[in-house]
Amino acid sequence: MFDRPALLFLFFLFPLIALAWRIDFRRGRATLRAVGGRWRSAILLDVYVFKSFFSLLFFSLFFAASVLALAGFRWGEHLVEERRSGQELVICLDVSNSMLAEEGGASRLQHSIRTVRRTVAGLEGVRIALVVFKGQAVQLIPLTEDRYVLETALRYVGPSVMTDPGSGLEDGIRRSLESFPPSAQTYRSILLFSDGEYHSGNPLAAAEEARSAKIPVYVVAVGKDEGAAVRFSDGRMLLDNSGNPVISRPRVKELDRIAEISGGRLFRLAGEDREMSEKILAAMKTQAEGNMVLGMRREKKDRFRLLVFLSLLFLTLSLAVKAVRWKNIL
Amino acid sequence: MWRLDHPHVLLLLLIVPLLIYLLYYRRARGGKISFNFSIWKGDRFTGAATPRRVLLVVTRVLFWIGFSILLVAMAGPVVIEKQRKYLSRGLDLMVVLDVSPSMSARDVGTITRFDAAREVVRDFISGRENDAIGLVIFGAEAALRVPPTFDYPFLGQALDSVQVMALGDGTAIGMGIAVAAVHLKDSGSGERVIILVTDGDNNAGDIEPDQAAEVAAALRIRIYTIGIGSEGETTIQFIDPESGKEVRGVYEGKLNEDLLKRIANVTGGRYFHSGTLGILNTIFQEIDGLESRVQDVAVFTERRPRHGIFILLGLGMILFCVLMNKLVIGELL
Repeated sequence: MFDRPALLFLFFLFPLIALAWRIDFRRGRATLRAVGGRWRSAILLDVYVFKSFFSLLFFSLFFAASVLALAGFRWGEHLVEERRSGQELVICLDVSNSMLAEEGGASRLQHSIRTVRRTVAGLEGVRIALVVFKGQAVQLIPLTEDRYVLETALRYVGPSVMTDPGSGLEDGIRRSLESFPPSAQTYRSILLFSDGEYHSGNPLAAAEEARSAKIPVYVVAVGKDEGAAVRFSDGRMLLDNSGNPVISRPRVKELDRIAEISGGRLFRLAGEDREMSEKILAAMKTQAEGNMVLGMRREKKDRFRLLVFLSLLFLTLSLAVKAVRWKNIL
Repeated sequence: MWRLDHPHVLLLLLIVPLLIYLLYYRRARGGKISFNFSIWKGDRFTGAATPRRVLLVVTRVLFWIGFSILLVAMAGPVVIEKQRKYLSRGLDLMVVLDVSPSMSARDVGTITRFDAAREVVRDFISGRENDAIGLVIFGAEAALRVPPTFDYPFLGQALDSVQVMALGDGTAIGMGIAVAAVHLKDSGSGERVIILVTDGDNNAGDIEPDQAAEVAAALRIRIYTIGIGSEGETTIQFIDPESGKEVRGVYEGKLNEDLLKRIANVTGGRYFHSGTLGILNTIFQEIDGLESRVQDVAVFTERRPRHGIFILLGLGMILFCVLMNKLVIGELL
């Protein structure tokens, strides 16, 4: 519905506008009382109240229409020529320590890698890149059809491939977006595997960027709701300051927002799930083939022109309230 | 290139002077009060302070600029970019680069064989558009550095990070070809090519170059072989990546041209020899020409709407002016 929903936060400026009007109204009223004289001040104030109210109303409508235009409010559908063909996919894999949490006999990372393998097996002829992230994100493999290199990389990925601690989810998405070469006319998507435990950055902003680039992020939220302890490869457990095992739980809500904002979908992976790859592949197929009619794609209409027209109309009305003399007095 | 989707909307700019007249210059306009001075008992009127007057003028000018910018936004400013889309698949190409210590011999003009090869390969990559290009390096061992990809910046970075002696002291030509062939094996392109750049003879690795060439030929991979450097003794100088120490020495050229010719012949490629940077450049240009195909390309224009920035600018200016008017200047309406 909105191309840039984050800009709707501009509506929080409304109270400032109303406050400015109120301050100005009080000052104007005092001025009119002083200069209007005993006979005319009552009628002057009547007109002034009326004009101030409508001036604020029309200006507010101007502001609302402008913000909606800015946020890219769309409704209705039309057909546009679809030039894209072929598929490119970036697999974005969280390799932070929390992905070592064991659930169902294997770590979250192992479950993720198995799902990646099964998904990739169903993507013949698709160019695939691999990005891993921990404190920072690194592109391990550029977009390629070479499956050997992907398999080799999947064998050694883990928290030890990077020393930088943390879980840079935003960085991971941004690095994935950068992995696509500019101007290629292909269906592009990001397949993100993460438990959503991030401590810095704003992955939602990166998801917005993905949406602008028409690159949906299919998010696989890895981990069970009840959480699990994190066990390192040498058998040690991750402990908190009191010496108790740290229980890592997936932050599904945040991951769902990433999928929703970017136009992708959320999947839950809690343990071994052999059907997960089929669900992911089906979603990708829908992206490539859904909304298509004879080589044309259905798209929501951008209504910015109408909204800007309305905003200018309301602004002009707001000015007209001032410019038109009423009761021959103000 | 900037363009307006609906330039006729700009005709609406003509209403701006009209609105300015109605708002500020019409005699019977609203927003002002008139009264008889003869009955005024208050203080004398004094004009507004100069800074406030200046601010009033500035905000009015900004307001109407903002108004005009919104009108331009309504006209639909877009940036038009021409884009090419290849309708056919290019070739898959692997550059197989020798990184043995002898490649640090400084006998290709004033630079080393390795630097010359790297520079020319970089130029070669920048000239290709629709080909997936990869990089394999070999010394005593061979390793894939970049799989065939269209991500040329990634490839360029990998090429820049390669160092002489990165894979030990030795020249495993057979291994280099084999690694490249394995990663080209499943390529979706019908055309597969290896460009092998070396200055020596095979003296390491478990796979003989002739065997590797036969495998490549069976996979219908053409191999262009390039022998680089001069015959005879040359000095070498490089930083050992493991110890970080500078190594200097004298190297006697052992380029096995017969082997490189055989590899090229078996696979349907060609052998070239280069002693200078200019010749090396010419060789790569020739390979570029040999491996150029007529490709179907669709050219179309991509529209990138830019109205958002105009709306933001216009709205920001108008909001600023109105708030200044209400909070600082204090106009009656």
